[in-house]
Amino acid sequence: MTRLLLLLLFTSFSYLFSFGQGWNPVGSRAVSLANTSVCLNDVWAYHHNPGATASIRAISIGAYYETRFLTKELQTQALAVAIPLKVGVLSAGGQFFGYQQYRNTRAGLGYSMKFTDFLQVGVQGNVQTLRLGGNYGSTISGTVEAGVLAKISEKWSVGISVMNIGRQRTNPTNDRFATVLRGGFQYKPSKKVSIFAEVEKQVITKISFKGAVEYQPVQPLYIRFGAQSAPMEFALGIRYRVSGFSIDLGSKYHQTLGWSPNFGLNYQFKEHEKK
Amino acid sequence: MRKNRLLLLFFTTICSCVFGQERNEIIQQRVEFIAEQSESEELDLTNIFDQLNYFYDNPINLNNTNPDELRSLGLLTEVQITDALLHIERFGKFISIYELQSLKYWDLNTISLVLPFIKVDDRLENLHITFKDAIKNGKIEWYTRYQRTPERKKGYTPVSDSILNNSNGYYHGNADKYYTRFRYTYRTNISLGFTAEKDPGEEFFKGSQKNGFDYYSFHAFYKGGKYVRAVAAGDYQIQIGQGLNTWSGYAFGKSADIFSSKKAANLLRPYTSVDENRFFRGGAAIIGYKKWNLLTFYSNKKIDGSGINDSLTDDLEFVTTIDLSGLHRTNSEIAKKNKLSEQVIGNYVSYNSTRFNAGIAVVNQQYNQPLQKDTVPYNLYAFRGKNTTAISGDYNFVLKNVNFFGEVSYSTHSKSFAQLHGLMAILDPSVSISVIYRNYSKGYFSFYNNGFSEGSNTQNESGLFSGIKVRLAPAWSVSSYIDFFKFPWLKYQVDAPSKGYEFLVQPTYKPNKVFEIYARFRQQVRQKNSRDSDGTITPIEDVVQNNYRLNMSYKVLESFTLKSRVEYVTINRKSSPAEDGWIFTQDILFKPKKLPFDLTLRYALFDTDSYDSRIYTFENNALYVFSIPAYYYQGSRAYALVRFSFLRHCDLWIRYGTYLYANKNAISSGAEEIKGSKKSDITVQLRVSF
Repeated sequence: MTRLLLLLLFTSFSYLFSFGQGWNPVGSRAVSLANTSVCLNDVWAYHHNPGATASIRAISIGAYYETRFLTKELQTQALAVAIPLKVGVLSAGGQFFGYQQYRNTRAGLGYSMKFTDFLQVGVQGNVQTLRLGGNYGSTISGTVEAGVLAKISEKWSVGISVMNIGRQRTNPTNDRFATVLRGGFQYKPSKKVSIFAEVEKQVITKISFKGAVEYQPVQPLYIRFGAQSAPMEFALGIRYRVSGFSIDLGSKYHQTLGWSPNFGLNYQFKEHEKK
Repeated sequence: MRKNRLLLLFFTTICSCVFGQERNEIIQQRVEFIAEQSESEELDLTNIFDQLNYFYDNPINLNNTNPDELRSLGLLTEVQITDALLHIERFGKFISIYELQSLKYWDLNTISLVLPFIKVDDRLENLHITFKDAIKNGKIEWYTRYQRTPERKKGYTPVSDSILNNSNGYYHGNADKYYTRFRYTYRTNISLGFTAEKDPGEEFFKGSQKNGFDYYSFHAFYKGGKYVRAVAAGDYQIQIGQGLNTWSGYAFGKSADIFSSKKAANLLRPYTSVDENRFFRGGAAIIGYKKWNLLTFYSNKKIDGSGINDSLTDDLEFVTTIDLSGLHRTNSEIAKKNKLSEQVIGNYVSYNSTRFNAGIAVVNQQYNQPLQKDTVPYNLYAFRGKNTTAISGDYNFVLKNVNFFGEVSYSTHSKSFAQLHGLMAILDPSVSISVIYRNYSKGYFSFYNNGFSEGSNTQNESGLFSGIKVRLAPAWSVSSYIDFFKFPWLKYQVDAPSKGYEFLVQPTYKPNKVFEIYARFRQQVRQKNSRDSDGTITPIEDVVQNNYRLNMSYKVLESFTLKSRVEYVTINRKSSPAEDGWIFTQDILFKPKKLPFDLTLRYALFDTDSYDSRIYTFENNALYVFSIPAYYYQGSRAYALVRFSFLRHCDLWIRYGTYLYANKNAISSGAEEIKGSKKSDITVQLRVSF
């Protein structure tokens, strides 16, 4: 059964999988918002918008785990760390996807800073490795990412990010890693509610539209809901926050392939928000 | 502070605008608001109309009302209703209508929508129904209507009796449609009325229709006692919970107005419309004690069907099809008439308070002959036999700013469930969301249900709907929804389990009271049988339909409104070439205040590749006539509607409309075929009201 599913994935649903080519959406908050994440400015911004990390004001770390379609071969683990400096924010992150016969790893460092009060920019370098089982061996190469986040007003922010600017190849003769261009906005009518919308294009896959809502009914609790096209999926999730810790639970749902539950744990060293 | 003053200024201008409008226009506007959202040829908003008409004359006193009454406006969400009622609980009665602005979840838009129908009064009205008062203050309305297509359809060709009696290609009656309705109402407490209708092609006072009209309906209805809260005799409607178990009459489904996806049940109402099937006939009563209600009802009526006759007695032995069209024009249609008796007995116990209501219903339904549908695969789980009982429980409560609602229903003949759970939340005065999950098993069935669904029945479907409405700025708002659905079993013309989704986004710009423009994009992806099947197993394929609409309405003068719409549709599927279609409609509404008439004109051009790429659009018509026809092929459409008011009590509507098709020498097919390229319609309606 698992094999059949894998075969199905590799053939007709390869697009679902294309971000396995070097980049996966990770971070429970981002995934629970159906990847409408180009404007998120927490530690997980490392994996979505290198420019958005510049808003971080305290050392933060996060870990993430997901099994796509409840299949053990399609597990993803990820990490993200952000360390604010005197000027700018240094961040690091890694994500690991796959199983023994196919494993894709990506890890690197990024730096972001506030250009002006409302404009943040950031760049990143990542090392990509791809290892196939049997006698196929592995490859290693590097990609460059960049992004900006602009806070237009109290309510509106706009973010744009590019993954793999140089369209690096997986190895000198073969396919390229996915290049992803994303642009979106966040609308925040009040402290409790955020609405996100975003467009994402990868070179060889269909353009994808996404939208999501995040709601904070009481201080420690967040509720999230989102949907996206290409692939058509919806997502939901919650976060519970206790002092510096926050625990995330969420899942995406695909009409044919089913649920992809995820789990995340984050820690922020010092509360910087004045309550 | 300055903001508040501005608000107040804005609010007073709203008031003056609203009260300057004419009642018909106000009501029409709201009904259109509701109707524009739906796409179906058959739409009956009579109840909404009736309600609004009544509340216009007798505004709801906010200081003396209940959730049900506010719900029946069809314009308020559950959270808003609770908000208002809790305000009274907390701060005492409303002192002035301006206090509504202090309600957290009532935005100015909502207030301006409901303002004509509410009031604030600290005198409580004690209801004493006296015979004298009922005679003096009762309202009588009498409608007569005539409709016809002047061009001759093939079914009306004069033929000899022998052909007429042995063929199904010809109609027995003439092409006129007659309708009359009489109704006496006293507040919302008493209603007496009758309705009669003859469809085109049906006979009138002869042949198969010795009694004149093909369809008659009577009702007597009383509401308002302390313990006997309502009694209905004759024809009535029942609406329970979210419509999974029993829901006769019309209900809204998906629409750009995300709040209409939740159903607001009107437990028991008199039936005044002309759908010849979706109602109950018999008696019903609601008995109540404090917050508890018991609805009990009995209905027994004849319905149309055909089947296999018993070779000895010539009675139906079992029924293979049930016909809900209500048409009796040809031999076969006449033969189906009233072939089957249907009996429905139900009880519903409910508890209602301001924030919470719940109920349990048991409804038994039976036919006098067993039903045996064709044994084709998609009918595998269809209802068979005589008898089934639906047992359901529903709930609806409000927690702070979130309204939770749902229903679970069980059908005894197939031992299967249908359930629906949803929530609506006002996250912020400018952001509202709604989420509805439904799961109707493939064997679930009840005679009259109307649950939220993509398919036409509350059966064989699971899905998740989520919608959002955001007011970005005073003039800008965006509505959007996405609905995923799955059909676990086959459907008619879908030879495999299938799935799909529907997505809509609609930004609206309304800078002031006179101008509004909105754009709408809607994508529907459904699976249907492929058209290039080799006759063995037919595969299914995605059918992708995109609609793009731009709609503008501009009130040039108080009495003069322009409405324009352009809509473009594309349809893509693997097995046939891509199709598209356009329509462009222009409406002119002229409603002078000083003159006793108003005039509505439309001119439209349409150009679609086929019937598949048809586009639905709302048309104005005489009061209580609802038409949302589809435009397709190439041609033009025009209509003129005039309304005269005279002698203080009378209104006359005259409407003439015509389609002129290009490159066609016959329209439609079979008995409905019209030679030539023109098809028209005439409507004349007279209303007398006291």
